[in-house]
Amino acid sequence: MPETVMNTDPVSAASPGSQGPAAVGTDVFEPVIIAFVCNWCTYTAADLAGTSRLSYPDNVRLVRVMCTGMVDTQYVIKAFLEGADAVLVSGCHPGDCHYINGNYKARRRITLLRQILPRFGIDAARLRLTWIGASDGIEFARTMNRFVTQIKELGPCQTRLHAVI
Amino acid sequence: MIASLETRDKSVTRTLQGFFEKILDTGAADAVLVPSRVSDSSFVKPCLFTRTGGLSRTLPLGPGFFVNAGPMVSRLTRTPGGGRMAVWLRPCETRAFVELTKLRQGSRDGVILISMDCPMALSREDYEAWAGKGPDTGTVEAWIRRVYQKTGSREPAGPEPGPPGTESGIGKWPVSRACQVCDTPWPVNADVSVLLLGSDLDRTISLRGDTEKGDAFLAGLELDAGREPETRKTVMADLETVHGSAFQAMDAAVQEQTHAMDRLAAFFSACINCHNCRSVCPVCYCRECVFNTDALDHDPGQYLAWAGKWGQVPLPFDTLFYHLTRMAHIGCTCVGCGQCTLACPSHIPVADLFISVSRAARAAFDYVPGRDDAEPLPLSVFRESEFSDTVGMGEVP
Repeated sequence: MPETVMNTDPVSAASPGSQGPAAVGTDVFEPVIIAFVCNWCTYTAADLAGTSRLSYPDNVRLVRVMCTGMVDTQYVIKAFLEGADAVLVSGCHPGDCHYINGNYKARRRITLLRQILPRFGIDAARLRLTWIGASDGIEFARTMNRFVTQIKELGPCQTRLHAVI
Repeated sequence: MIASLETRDKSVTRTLQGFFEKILDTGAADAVLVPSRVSDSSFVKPCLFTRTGGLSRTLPLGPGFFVNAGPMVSRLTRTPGGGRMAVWLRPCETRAFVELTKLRQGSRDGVILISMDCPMALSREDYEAWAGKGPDTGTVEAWIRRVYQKTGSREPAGPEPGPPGTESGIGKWPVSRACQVCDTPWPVNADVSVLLLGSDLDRTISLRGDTEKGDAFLAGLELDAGREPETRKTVMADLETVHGSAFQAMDAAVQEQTHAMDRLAAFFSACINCHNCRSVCPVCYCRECVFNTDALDHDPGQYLAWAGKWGQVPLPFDTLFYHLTRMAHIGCTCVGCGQCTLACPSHIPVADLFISVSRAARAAFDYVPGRDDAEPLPLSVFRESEFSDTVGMGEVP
């Protein structure tokens, strides 16, 4: 089962004994990525990846939501301000939304945030929106691997290093 | 149609007061909403008049702008009130009201929107200095002449009214920054537009009906025929250029000031979380704001955890969270009225940042607030095929 993180502090939320993010200042940068995944598609895909024994980095903390259409812009903003290095919003493919059109709404909100956040130094590449269907366990693991690689290359987000809230 | 008012006693203010009197006397409307001095104070507020008696205190074209009347008209029209109202709104107030009607927080039914080439506004400090104990008619008239006869490329005609205000470094007008960079300081989407730019104010003032309702309203007042001032379009083009370059300069300055999160934190470092900017924001529309709920009543231990993570934690907390969330919520609908800056007790130029961000945000959706009643709010609609660049993981390895 994918881990659903309830703790709002992404750094301390690393599960004990895992290869979780290293403390700031150590040599290896392990990013913290908050992924808001919809119950019906991407979360199910994550589940499938797990039962299929596909591995993906534990830098990604999944937050299960019923639909990407309920991911208000403030969830993403709060995640960054709390020190997340990147945020992923992932839901059903267009036309597949369990609530008919929530994913289209999410696409507009993320488009807006990708206009706003880069102005303050949060690279647009740190905020991604993807569609991963319930049967796409392989795609899920591939996306998570790729995202973690990308963010490792980008380095830590400023908000992780300093309190800017 | 275009009608005209003959200027009375060489006073634009008196002429417009007469116009409001006429509206009430002829029954063209049962009430008029006009900015007016309250008692003998120099400050003005939108006041709803049903009798002509108090109209001599109104200042329809003064530089005092401390309440955006858009939400006030929303209060007056959210359910049918039974009477017909004529409301006198600055262009940014009209835009705000139109945005609120899209959110079903007001209705254009039963209300005539009269808007005008904008008289601009002073910052609070400058206004206090300018108005003194109470602006007399002469001071206000001088202001009016200055605003409408200035084209941007010409020096102001006549003597400077009141203190010259502060040199902003962006423009020589001592008007508030939001006004300096305003992209539409003239009426768009009103029922009646008052055409003042380029007008010979000592002789006539022209009013143009822009909707059927507006035309019928003007016809009912039986005014003389008028025409658009000949040089108005030229003056508008001049203003557009001047305001456009003022915006470019401000935008660059703001981006330089806030290009990183720690810079943004510095920008808002004087913020005391009073949320005044939200209270006065005409388009911050939620009935209950999340920042008033217990969602942010953090557990006491949480603060220690945050302090443990970063070594320190500023209190009150969630300042940037509040401002960034507001930016996301109203980014596309910000009408650029500058009330947030006027209301900030810590003198943070909030509007500079919000105007700068909102111009970029709304461009992404090809949206202009207030331009068209039929244009839906960007975050309230979607199309099946759009913004494909938003989706995906970027370059394919």
